[in-house]
Amino acid sequence: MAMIVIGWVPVAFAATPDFGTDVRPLLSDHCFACHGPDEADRYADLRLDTADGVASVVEPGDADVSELMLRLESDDPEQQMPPPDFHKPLSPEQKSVLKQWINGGAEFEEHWAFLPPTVDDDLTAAYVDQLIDKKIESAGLAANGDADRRSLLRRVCLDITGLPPDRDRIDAFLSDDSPNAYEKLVDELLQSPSYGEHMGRYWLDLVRYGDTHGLHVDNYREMWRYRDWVIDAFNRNLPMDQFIKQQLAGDLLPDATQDQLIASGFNRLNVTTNEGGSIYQEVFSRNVIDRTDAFGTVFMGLTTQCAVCHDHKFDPITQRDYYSLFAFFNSLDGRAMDDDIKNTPPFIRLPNENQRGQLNRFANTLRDVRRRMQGPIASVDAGQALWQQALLTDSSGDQDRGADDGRIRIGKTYTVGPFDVPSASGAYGRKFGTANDFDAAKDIRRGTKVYPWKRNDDLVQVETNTMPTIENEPSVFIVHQELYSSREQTAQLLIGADDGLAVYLNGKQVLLSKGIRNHTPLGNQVTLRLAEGWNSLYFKLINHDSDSHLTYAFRSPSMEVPESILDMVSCNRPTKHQRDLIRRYYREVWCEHPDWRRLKAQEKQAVLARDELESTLPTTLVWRELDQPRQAYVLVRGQYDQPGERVARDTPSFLPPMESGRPRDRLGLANWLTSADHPLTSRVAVNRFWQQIFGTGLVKTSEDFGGQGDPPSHPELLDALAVDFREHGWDVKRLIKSLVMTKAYRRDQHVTEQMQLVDPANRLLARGARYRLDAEVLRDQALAVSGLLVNRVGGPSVKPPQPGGIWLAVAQTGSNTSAFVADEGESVYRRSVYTFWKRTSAPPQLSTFDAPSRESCTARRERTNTPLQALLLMNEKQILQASKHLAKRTLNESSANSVQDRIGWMFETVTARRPTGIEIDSLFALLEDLQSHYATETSAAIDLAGDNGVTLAPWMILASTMLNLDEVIAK
Amino acid sequence: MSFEDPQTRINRRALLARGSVGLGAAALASIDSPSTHASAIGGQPGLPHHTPKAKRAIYLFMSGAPSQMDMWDHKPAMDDWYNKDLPESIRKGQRLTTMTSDQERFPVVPSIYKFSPHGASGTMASELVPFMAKKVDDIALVKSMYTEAINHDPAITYFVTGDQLPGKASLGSWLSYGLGTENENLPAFLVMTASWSGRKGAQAITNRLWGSGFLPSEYQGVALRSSGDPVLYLSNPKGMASSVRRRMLDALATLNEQTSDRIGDPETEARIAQYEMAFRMQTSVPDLTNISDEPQYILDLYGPDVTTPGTFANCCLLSRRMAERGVRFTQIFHRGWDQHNALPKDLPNQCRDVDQPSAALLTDLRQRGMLDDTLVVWGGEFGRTIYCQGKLTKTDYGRDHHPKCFTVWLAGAGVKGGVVHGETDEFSYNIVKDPVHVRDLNATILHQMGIDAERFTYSFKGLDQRLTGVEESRVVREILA
Repeated sequence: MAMIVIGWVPVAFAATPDFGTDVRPLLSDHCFACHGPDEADRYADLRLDTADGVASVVEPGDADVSELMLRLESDDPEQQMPPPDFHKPLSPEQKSVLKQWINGGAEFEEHWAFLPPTVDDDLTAAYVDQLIDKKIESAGLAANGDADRRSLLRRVCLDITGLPPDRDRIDAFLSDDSPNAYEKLVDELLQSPSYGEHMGRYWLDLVRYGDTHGLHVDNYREMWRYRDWVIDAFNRNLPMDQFIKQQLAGDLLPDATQDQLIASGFNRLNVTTNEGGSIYQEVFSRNVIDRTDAFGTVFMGLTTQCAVCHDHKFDPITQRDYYSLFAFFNSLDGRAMDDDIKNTPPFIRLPNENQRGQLNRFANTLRDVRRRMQGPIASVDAGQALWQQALLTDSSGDQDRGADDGRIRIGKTYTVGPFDVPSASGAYGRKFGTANDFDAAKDIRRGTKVYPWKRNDDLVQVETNTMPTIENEPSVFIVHQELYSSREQTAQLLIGADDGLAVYLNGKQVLLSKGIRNHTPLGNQVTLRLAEGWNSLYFKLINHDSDSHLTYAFRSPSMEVPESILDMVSCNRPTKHQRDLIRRYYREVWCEHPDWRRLKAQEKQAVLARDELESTLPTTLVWRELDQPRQAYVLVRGQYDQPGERVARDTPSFLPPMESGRPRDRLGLANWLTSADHPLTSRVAVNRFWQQIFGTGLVKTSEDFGGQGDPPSHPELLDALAVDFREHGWDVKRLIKSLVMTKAYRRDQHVTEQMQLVDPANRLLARGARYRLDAEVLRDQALAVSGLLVNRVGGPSVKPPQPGGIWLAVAQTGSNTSAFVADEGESVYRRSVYTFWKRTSAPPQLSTFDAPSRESCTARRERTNTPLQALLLMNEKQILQASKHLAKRTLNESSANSVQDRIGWMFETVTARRPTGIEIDSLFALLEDLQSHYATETSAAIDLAGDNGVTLAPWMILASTMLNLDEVIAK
Repeated sequence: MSFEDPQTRINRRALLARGSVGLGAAALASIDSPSTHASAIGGQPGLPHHTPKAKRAIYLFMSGAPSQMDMWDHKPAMDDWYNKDLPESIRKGQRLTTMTSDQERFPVVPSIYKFSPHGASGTMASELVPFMAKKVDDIALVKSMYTEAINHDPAITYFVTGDQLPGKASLGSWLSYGLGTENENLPAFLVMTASWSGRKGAQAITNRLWGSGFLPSEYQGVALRSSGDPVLYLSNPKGMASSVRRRMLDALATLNEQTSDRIGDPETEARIAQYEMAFRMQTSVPDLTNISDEPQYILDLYGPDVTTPGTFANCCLLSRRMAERGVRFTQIFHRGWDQHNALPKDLPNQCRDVDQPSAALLTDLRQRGMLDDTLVVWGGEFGRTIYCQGKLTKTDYGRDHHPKCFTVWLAGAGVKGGVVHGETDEFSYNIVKDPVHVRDLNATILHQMGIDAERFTYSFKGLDQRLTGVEESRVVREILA
């Protein structure tokens, strides 16, 4: 009987190695690179990932004549496989596995994860244990018994809520001697709001949630309502299929709610950039690739990114498949560059109920005022009649007055553009022609492109003009207006736009209004100081997003009435539209009547009130789909500028097809993922929950279920869990409960020598899982046991203190996340899931304990054990503060009489168990030494623990010692 | 009462608790021999692949992209091209950043700096680098570096992690993972971010440049800070003497031993060892960063900034102290090299920051006999254009990003001195001889450290990940002795 180590645990072969577990991984790792799914890079026309291919080089039952074995065992460098320069030789043990497999009949199976899961039995905790116990037994191990109640209590509290049990819970659980006390505890914990915070945290790693854009300037990005949505979804036990659907396609659901729109922000979590100099299409394709890969990793455990440049080497994902998936994620109605702003469109504002009411009131007021402004106003209309009369009399040639009559004449209007720019925010500093020395004959050149100025008579004063833009890209459009003034004088420019706007008079900037906004027609008033003679007025419109509108008019007693208006006034039968335009022009430009001024003032007030309130509202990025999806192409070698074959939206061909007749959009994709015959979605999901509870997934590589991933340790169990999960409504709480109710979960953690030898990583679960707690749990635990924790759910991210200069050391000068300023007050004691996450410089309290940067999807964290972690738990400010607080608590709250009992109280508060006699003695001896030390070192005591330092300092160090215990750091 | 002298007391059980837990695994040798670089601790079996020339490396990273034709890549023919358009035969339609792609003209701007030959090799260097000019016989100048990335964030990520997108492991973390450490009392990979005095604003860098990506995080670089604790959380709180810490750690170890006896998880023993390592770092790190024992002539060598914490000079001196203590890989990031405009004002300041200290580092290493086994690399993430960005005058100009050629230098540890490798055309625009890709440079660094880049892999997401990526890399043997 051969005994070799493959994959995860020693496997004993009585007869034949299993193809899926033992053989396929070898072929994948050593052969598929040249003899696998990638057609373009396949040698000798041989593929070993299909039954036919394998059959062509294998003689079942006879390894000695099989070409595969001959090549593997050849010494001839010409014949030998894998070729020596491939640097991936097979070990003798691995060759022997292949040999035995061939001799045993060379049975071929498709990759397990791509076949639908099947089950033999209903899933119960007992069934789970049965499958676990079978493996333990066959490995020759004896499973541990149950853990003691206190250990189990702490374990299950940490696993379900991420917080240790408080003293009340300890007392309550220990005094409950009903047979289902544990189950009641589990049910209670699952109802705690802390559950969602804890579960959500894993999801946030997976989807790379952060509070900054992630690349280059790395400014603040507002997405925390998405984080709160995730927490809330776990707390209300939103079924996983809905959870998936709302995130992938919340915006496409019929009558999407605000919550569903927030969830669609999942598709916006990729890192973004606004680096000057970037090439728009390059950034665009990187964004879409990032989203596509997130989709692959998060929902299917597939390494899709391997197929960006060529067919996947190991899994049957062709490059064409890849870009067919890509096509689902390429049609955001928004721009690729993030503009360095917190709410790169599309985004939604999130008023609370009260604010929503206010906004409605402002909107109603505004509508009402504007209706009155557009309707008849007797007093104003009388003035207009007189004005028109005068105009008609005047216009008998008087428009053409001499040059020195003090009038201002409107000259020619020229426009140029739209110009494509990589980012709108970067366009403010860009020059397009010159705002000075205007010359209509001088074309604008950008690189090799030439843009001539065009005479433009379409722009009408007071009218809402729709301005040219470039579809789906930021752009700039320029208007040049000549104004003749016979003398130096001032005039008012009224101007409004829903886009970025810069106005220059004779080369000097007179207005700069950045970013997108609600269009308030003629909303800005700018004083123009006109020089004598020709003046040059230059509008630069910067289109951030969507359509672009411009309204403008000139207001001055000296201003000539534009030709177009004069024509309408002198026309015999003006149309309704013309009458409206004349009225609007008169009112906006000429009218000074108090009745009109009052309405204008009311409008302004309502606009201001609305804008002011809107600017205080939280926002969150969402997905909004273009009306017409963008065409997708295979990008040759993954290059953004080398589009190849056109592709339509589709799912990879090796997986079950999408239901025909359903729309090919993200909603269809979500439905496909959660359909009954999809082999991956539920397996991948349950595996991650297993990993959360037991420390390692049944498939260890929880991010990769493909051929290069690890095979499952318990395939039947994974399938049973996956089927059960799907068939019971994707009920996450039910699943978590079924896991913590198993015997396997509740076992004592003691490691026997035999266990250490046979199963050091505890994949067989003969003992209770034990491993270091995650960064957030460690910090939250210290805050909780000391009584400092502020347990409030949701809200903007918070900044607990961190050592100075960490952001500054890396940040772009001018980034709004370059200077770290810690919050004050209760914010700093919130749970770590609310800690502000700067992606180019993750919070050090968390990253020191293996928290990821959140730049890319992380399905599992490493668990390292380093001296830097020791230093953190010894010296970090908040941990020390927690130690001090715990010391105070012990002295104040513990009703114990003796010092030993007080030590015991503190110990129990931290560990949930009573200390042993030896432990009490050690701690007591430490306390005594510290007390005698600080009795003489009083100023040191005060430095450490404040005014009451001589008493408090020894207890504080005692508390710190407990927070540093291995038992407390581990679960 | 008085506690025992913390320097000599080390927990007995902890001494026995040698585990393999990365940084400071088995970290329990005596505190009084901090520079025991006799043998590596940690590291991967089978490594190094061959006898390394370099036991350690120091990488001086010029973030922002130094202007090659103003410092090293002498282009005298350009003097006749002042303000003439860059010919299309040179640009060949190559893509430009969108900072200059819409310029109407691409006027050539020759360097205003004087070049002269130096050393026995006669290598040309500009007046901006007078100290390094005296070192040309010690360095191999590679004028034919190129990359594909044309913007900072992707380009610097590419240089340091082998990929333009976030998520991969950095060079230093690869070395730390592969080769382990030579000093159990210090991290194997230390990073410093230096202050700069050229351009006021500077491009961002990011923690991912010393991150471990898919490698376990114990291999990530430790950022050494110039103010506050040099290593995060190093110092005991005020009022807690080292003797008190020692006493607390003794009690902690005693209690943890109870846990270890009760449960038997090897991680507990490893944790005890890490706390002992942490305690020793509380001594070894200040010992590293305290330069008061440096003689005046050494301080003079590095120049006037050397005593100011955080300056490039100070970082260079510290990097030598790290090298002496067996730190495997040290990387200094110096920012401010992004001369889009006002190059004549800003570039000299940037050069002044780094020129004397870089030269001093080579001198200092050599005089200690350490240049033979310490690799020093200097360079940025791409080069700059021969054409002017923005307004060109006789005294003022700027240059945009240029990925198609730029200059780096290497020295020490089997790198030939006095060598110039690669050539660019007369516009310093295209490489005409011996191109060296980013991954070739990284493969060369690995090679000098005893590692074959092709065989140095880590399995993640189904791929054998390499620092040099999936495409082939080539060791630049021409510059190796």
